[in-house]
Amino acid sequence: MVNKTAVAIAVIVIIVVGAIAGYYLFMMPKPIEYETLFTRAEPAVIVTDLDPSTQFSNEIVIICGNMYETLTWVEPDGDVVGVLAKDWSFSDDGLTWNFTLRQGVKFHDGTLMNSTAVKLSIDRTFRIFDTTGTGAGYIWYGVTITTFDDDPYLVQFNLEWPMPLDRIVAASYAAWVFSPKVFDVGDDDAINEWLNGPPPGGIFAGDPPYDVGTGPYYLDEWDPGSHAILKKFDDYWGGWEEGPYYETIYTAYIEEVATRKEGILGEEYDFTYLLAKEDLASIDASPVADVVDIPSFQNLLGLFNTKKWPTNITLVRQALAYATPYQRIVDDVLVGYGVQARGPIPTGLFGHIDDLFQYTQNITKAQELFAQAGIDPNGLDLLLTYHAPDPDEAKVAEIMKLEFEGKLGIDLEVRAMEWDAQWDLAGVGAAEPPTEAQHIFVFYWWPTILSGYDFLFPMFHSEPEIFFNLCYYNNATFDDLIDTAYSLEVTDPTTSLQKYEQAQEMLIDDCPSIFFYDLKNTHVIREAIEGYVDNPAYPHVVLYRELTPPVEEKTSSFMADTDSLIPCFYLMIMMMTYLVKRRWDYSPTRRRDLSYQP
Amino acid sequence: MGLLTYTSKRLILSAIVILGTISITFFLSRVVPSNPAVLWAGQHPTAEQVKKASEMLGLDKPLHVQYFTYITNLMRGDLGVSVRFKRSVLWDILYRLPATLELVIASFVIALVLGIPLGVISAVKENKLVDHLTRTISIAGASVPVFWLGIVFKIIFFGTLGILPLTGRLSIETTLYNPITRITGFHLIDSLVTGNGPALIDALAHLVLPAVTLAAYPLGLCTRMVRATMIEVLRENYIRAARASGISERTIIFRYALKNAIVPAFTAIGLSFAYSITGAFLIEAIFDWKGLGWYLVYALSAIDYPVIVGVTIFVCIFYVAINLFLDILQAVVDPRVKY
Repeated sequence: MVNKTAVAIAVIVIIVVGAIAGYYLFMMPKPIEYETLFTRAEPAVIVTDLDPSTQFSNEIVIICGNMYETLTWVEPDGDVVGVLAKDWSFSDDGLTWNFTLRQGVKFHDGTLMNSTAVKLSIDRTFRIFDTTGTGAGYIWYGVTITTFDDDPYLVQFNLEWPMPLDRIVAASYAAWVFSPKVFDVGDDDAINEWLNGPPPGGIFAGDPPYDVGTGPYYLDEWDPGSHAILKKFDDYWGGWEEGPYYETIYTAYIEEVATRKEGILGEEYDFTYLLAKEDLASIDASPVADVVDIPSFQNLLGLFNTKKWPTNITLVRQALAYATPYQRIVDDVLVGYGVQARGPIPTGLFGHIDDLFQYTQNITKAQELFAQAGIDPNGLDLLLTYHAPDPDEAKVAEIMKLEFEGKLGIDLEVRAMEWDAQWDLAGVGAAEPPTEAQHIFVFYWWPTILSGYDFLFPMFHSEPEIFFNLCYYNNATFDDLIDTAYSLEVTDPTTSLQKYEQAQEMLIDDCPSIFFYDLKNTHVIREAIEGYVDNPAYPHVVLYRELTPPVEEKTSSFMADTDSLIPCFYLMIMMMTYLVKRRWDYSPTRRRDLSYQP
Repeated sequence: MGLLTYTSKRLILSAIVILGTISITFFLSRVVPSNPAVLWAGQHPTAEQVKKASEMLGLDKPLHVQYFTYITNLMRGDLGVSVRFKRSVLWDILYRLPATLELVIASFVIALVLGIPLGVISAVKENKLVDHLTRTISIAGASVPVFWLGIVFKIIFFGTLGILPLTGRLSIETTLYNPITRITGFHLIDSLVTGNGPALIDALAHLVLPAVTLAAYPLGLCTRMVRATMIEVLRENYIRAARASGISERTIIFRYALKNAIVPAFTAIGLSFAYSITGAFLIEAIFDWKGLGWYLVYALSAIDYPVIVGVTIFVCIFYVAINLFLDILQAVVDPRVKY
């Protein structure tokens, strides 16, 4: 006969254990766990150069911005802060700069960062540019670096002419500091080959890290065109004590816009950009994602051919500038994510003038200017070229065609071209533009060095052979003004700004370009993530260490707390075993087997 | 003419087709108004960089010299170096080919497994409701644009139902925590061989939508071809005789009718396999499937001419080889084929 007392005890124990388990499941406060994985859907597919000395494209900065570091960093508000440099000073003439380096900084390969590493990095970057023309090493023209045996954390930069060096050492290209250990690999070419793999060659033949920077994250895996994985660098000089932080960053390279949109709305990805502007409002209104938009340092220009009839006539250029529908372009193309440009230098950069004259559409004025020039715009043949894959440029071109033809009768041919073909047509490398060159060259510009000079010099400074001055503007007074302005940026910023203003007024009068708009950056990030600040100085770079991951959502609390339930389950199994055993011991069969005699 | 002579003749013709394709593609890629040297030199290149790149790529030489250099290199198995990726084109093709083949084979299996029974049912139930339904499905499958179908599938199965993954070959979690050791490049095989269960399930889940989308056209084709040939065969006298002698309908359909009906359908179905390789290109772009198609689509947008020519040659060889194989196979299995 079953012992009823034992069964009753067992049932009570089971109820108690069940209650404890239930308490654990539903009532006990759970330890807070934060997400550790950040996923990014990156539209820029091609990352071809992982060499910090030679890389010169946006695609690479978005990865290297977390793997490598510079001496300083430009904050979104324009302030310059120290990164690898603790502090710095410059002489009165602006020709000597001393940077004191942070101590205890380790490269991902374990080597300590010091002045030798800084010198070797910058020297190699400049040497490669100087000998092969590769990369953005031109930013180091006129710069000599000195190190001191008695102070391995002091670097002196001697300049041949004054420059805003604190911003130059913060450049997004050509200013990364990397481990001197790479020089064990061989010469500059051998290092480049080694750093670029491709997997499983070069640096990828060994174990990660697959980079030689000091940044908070290191490259753990790289499948070109497919994905990149960054992992937290435990020995990062900034430390990881004040978390929570993301530990793994997964970048999926996805070109297709619809896929990235679906992915961000489905919370498959935490971050993306370059979505259709028309979709941004609905994405922002969704409960899962935020659209972060701030003015970028990127603007769209339409450079007039100042060497070819009729755009070689200033009055014609001014007339066309007046005929341009700026507001319609801003409304229809940017859908509010940008503003009409005020001159060539975007807001926020040194050299930008807030009250510089802006052309606005005025057809009557345009007709008057054509009349003054003695040219009938009706039937005038003009050629406008733009970068074919860019949908926004295509829209701008179409609007220009509609407005010019509809309101002035100008026969504007808009030609969609690949960048290299467009550039070839403009006569790159030649002393003079070819006769068949365009009348209006539409293209975007963004800076390497954070100064207005990096807009004015490449596009409007006279040059011996055509490079980026694709309006072929040639004005010695203008050249002198901007060169002087640049050299005074640090030592006499007020005079520098005045000269930049004069130079830009000259551009407004001479009108070598239409200044369409300053673009806004539109980045989409998961709403639950905090701490994201967009920095136009480093386009599309997310500083992952600055982000605060949200609390991890458990798909099942049962699964999550299995560990804490193990003792409960153990007890339950013990009790069940005990019960079964007792039942077996008292069963009739058992009793017969044991010849049990009550 | 014996089989050997027939095969040799077909081989020579195939070689001419391939050479013609190579030549046309090569010259077409050179007349496009583009300068690959600028692409090679990267963003913001200087005139000096462009000039050096031009010399390095041999673009400064006359076109006929470039052509013969290309053909000579091709004979050595060198398809050149990608202007944008800066890697061997052959290496890239071989690296990405398994992804495409995995997708194509999966879609073809779906097409055959569903298409043949549907074709048979449709033929047996000719002009009945089932037949009309099957024909509607097969016509829709063959007519609906795959890029539209793919996007609709993504919206339904990922966006609305949330039961299938959005894109790619593996989820991020699997890539991070259960990575597949590459042996063949086929995720299903590699995960199976290495006993990586979670990755196998994940790879299968990722394969469903792109494979079903890609299967739409061959499924429609297969159903229609099998239906048409089955109807023809079912009207033959020997089928009538078989029925008269009391043989079961199942035996008649599957042992006598289908066996004979499948042979004429064979060529069209086989060619649709070769077609699927190029059809997969669009699917790969939609589902971010990093195979050969994705590689080509990117190369096209960047005018990466070594990749464009290389992939075109590769696909041409594949297509010609399948065609040749089918011709020879048909000549062997079908005694009615004269050669």
